[in-house]
Amino acid sequence: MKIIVLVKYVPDIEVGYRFKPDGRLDRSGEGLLNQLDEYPLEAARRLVSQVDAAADSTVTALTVGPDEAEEAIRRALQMGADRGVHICDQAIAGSDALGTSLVLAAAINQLGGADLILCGASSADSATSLIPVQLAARLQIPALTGAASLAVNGAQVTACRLTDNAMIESRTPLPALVSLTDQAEQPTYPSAKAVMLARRKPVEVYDLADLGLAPSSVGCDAARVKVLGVEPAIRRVGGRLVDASSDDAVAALVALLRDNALIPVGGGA
Amino acid sequence: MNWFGLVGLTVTAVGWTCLALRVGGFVHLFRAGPAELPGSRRGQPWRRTAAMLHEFLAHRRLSRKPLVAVAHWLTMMSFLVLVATLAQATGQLFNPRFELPWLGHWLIYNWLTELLAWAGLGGIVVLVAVRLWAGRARLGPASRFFGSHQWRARYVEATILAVVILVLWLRGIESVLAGPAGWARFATTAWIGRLYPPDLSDAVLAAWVSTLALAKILVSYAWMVVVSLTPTMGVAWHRFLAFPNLWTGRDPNGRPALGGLEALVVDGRVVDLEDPALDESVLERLGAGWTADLTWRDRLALATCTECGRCQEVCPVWQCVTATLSGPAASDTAVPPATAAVATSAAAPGGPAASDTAAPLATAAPASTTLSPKLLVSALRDHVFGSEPEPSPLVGGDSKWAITPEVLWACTTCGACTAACPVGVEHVDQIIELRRHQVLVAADFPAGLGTTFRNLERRSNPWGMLPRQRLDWAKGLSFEPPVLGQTIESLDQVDYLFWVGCAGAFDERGQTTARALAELLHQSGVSFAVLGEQAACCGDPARRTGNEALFAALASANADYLNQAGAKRIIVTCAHCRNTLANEYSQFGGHYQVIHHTELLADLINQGRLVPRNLGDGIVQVTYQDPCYLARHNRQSAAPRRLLGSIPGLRLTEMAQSGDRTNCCGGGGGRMWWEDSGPRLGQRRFEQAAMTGADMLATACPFCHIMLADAAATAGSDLPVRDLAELVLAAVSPSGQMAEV
Repeated sequence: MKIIVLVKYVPDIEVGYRFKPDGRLDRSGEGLLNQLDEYPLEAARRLVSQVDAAADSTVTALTVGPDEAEEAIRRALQMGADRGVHICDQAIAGSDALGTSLVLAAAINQLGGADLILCGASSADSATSLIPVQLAARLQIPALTGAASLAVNGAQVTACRLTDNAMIESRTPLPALVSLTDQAEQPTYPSAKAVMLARRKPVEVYDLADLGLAPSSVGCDAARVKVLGVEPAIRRVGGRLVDASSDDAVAALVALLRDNALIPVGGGA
Repeated sequence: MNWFGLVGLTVTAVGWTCLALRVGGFVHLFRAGPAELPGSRRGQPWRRTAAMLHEFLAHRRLSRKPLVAVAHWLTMMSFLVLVATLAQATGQLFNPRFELPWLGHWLIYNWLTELLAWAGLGGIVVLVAVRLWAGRARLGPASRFFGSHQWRARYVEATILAVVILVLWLRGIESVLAGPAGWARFATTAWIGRLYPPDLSDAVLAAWVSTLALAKILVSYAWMVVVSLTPTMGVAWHRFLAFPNLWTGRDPNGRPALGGLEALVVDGRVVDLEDPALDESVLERLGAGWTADLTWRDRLALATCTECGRCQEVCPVWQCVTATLSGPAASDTAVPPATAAVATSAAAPGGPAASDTAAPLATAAPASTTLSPKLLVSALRDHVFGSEPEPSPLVGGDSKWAITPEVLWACTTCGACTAACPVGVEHVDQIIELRRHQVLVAADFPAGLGTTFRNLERRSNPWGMLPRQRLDWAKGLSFEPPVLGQTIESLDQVDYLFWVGCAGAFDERGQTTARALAELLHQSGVSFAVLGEQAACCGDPARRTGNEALFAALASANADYLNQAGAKRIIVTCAHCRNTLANEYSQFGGHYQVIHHTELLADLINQGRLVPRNLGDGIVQVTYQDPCYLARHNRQSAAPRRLLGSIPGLRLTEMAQSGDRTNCCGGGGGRMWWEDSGPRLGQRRFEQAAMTGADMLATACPFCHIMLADAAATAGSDLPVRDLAELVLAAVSPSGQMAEV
């Protein structure tokens, strides 16, 4: 079975992130493999280990991204992928989801297609969840999205999706695409052996010319979705307690409300 | 034809042949194990010899049980000297008046033989009694002999008892044969001869001698054949193997293998997991996953184990589980409901439940899922000596000897077992080797640990906090501590580097301790600097859970940074940081003087730079939890007590297990970082602290602090748990009051 896992290199948003003046994410800081992408990697690893004729099973980790994105590929290789494919071209920078899915579809065709394409349900940075469905549409294959588990029986894949009040089981013939949530099997922390062997696995790098795509078909200028503006979300801060047992509790409370402009200052009621 | 002689010589030949074959088997089996790091087990031979002789003659580690130590010493010595009587007996088969050439007429030899035969008799009687008493079935898993092969031990004891009795008996008859001229030689045995009728002919006496000599030979060589056929009978083999095992201990000075761990070694070479050219076959053999991975020293140690159970009895995990099983002190009156139910259902109708608990208790002890260092060693030993058609994994496999993951991951590496072992088994190192394989090769370990590894990898701390939060602890200090790389450029400008540690930086209780220490240093005019966002975990949680790759990454980066900053003297508040920085960073080129804060504070008080006053009004009773990694692994239990003793109005109430015999809080060995359904060591330790009736539980390690304070909260107790730094800060403050946490 031929499995392609889509992986993405994303900024470490817990550490902090910035936006450029044009509204695009500043990707210059530290980054890592998108955390949700560890779930399809784990699923792929398990599928391959279940299929006994593992000899002709391969797991390819595919990414589109800048040079640093190789780190995501390396992590994927540590987590069980056999080979890495990195689509890297300056012209791709600034693409919207349509542009990215175009590149991915071309890359997958270039690789001769796949029986199963696995990916995370969304990325930690842009979080549009569009790539799985756009890519499936471009490849004209069915997509089972937001799955909590999957199983392959013969030439069919079955996926389970958990909603707040139901479990939905769907089945589709291969080839197909399945996107996974963090309800799927927990990713295994790679052994030192796997980390070491990952260094010896091949990573192929292609540019747009290799895929037969025109630079004008992707990138900032070709993007049909424009980010108009970015505002940081209002951070919730912890509430403040006024000790009611103290004598000046009322005064303290009034002062707090007044200082935060929550009650009118001055003048009579 | 002399049938006695024929039989005697035949069993002698069979005995020695069996022994020779078995010794050859041992040598073959040991040599099949991979090599150790050159010099690590055989370097400094004179020092090793001296340490071994010291242990042998002084019985230092056995001395925890003084009666057993004396009895064992006498029995051991009698064996050494009485070996000659076997030659004597062989001669007597042919000539009842046979004397050993030269030696046999030497008065001192004769007296020594008699003395040691009696001493051996006394010794073995005591040892038999101790085994019967300490191993009485009613104790169930609370006995240190629970799970030991008792019949093997009883057989060895019976052999020794028979041999010394036969030696004395034989000498009694020899004294009659020798006549009055020889009586001086039989000073303490002649009376036995006089029990025989005085008119017995020499021929009858000679027949007695031959018969007893043959009996002695049969008993001795039967033992030799039995133990040769049973290589797993450590209780017999330790009399030979303990010598090489002690000699090849990890520490050439003969101290228990505690403190820093050894580097990851395959085939006698330290493995650098960063080396891209590392051979693939080496990657399969990291740590111990299969019997083939156990080094010759591992195998020797496993064969040496006598199953005496000293390790089992001090293991906090085993203690915790068996205490729950058998109730407080396994007394007659207190049988917890669950156990009582098992007992009554198994007992005959109408029988008293309490007295019949033995059998159900014995079967109830989940030996396969509860860590006992002894049972772990026995299982590994049987795995090595057992013959399986296919090699099977040491951990988690189908083999009947496989160690379950529950057992492997229950260990807190507190080192109580290793410190207690009289024959130099290095349990902690062995467990770490097993964990290394599980993590580095098999990628099979508790799920919660994966999160810790990711946190360490991404955020350089086990909590997964962000580097920019590293200095949050210092908010609220009365001064700004200098930060290396921000306010100061080199550590040459200050007395100390204060290594705040991850707990000090991120855990609320740890932060309180770090602030208390910083204030105290500031008040006493000690200059220090702290690390900023470059600070990272020392690596202890990774190393103790077998993740040597992660440990090496953290430790080498830290050592490089510290060396570049010119670190020489480092203060820590964490016993684990203390151990790792001082004992393990030398493997990465880091050599520092690492000072635990209790040591520094005790010195500052001693120098009068801090003057503690009463803590509040009246006497405050404090009990102190010795952190394992301070008191046992690094032999530091005096400074904290000096410190406590210097606070007026404070009375130290010790727990039963304290100092280097402290009982673990459950937070070591990485066990801080994941929860499972296993025993709650912290709760048990907290109960022990509360039982002292103290007003306060003091400790000196953030892990102890967290585990015990959590246990206090679980128990709904208001016994405060505080770090010693907090106590000192309160004692030097004008109010003498503890700050609220």
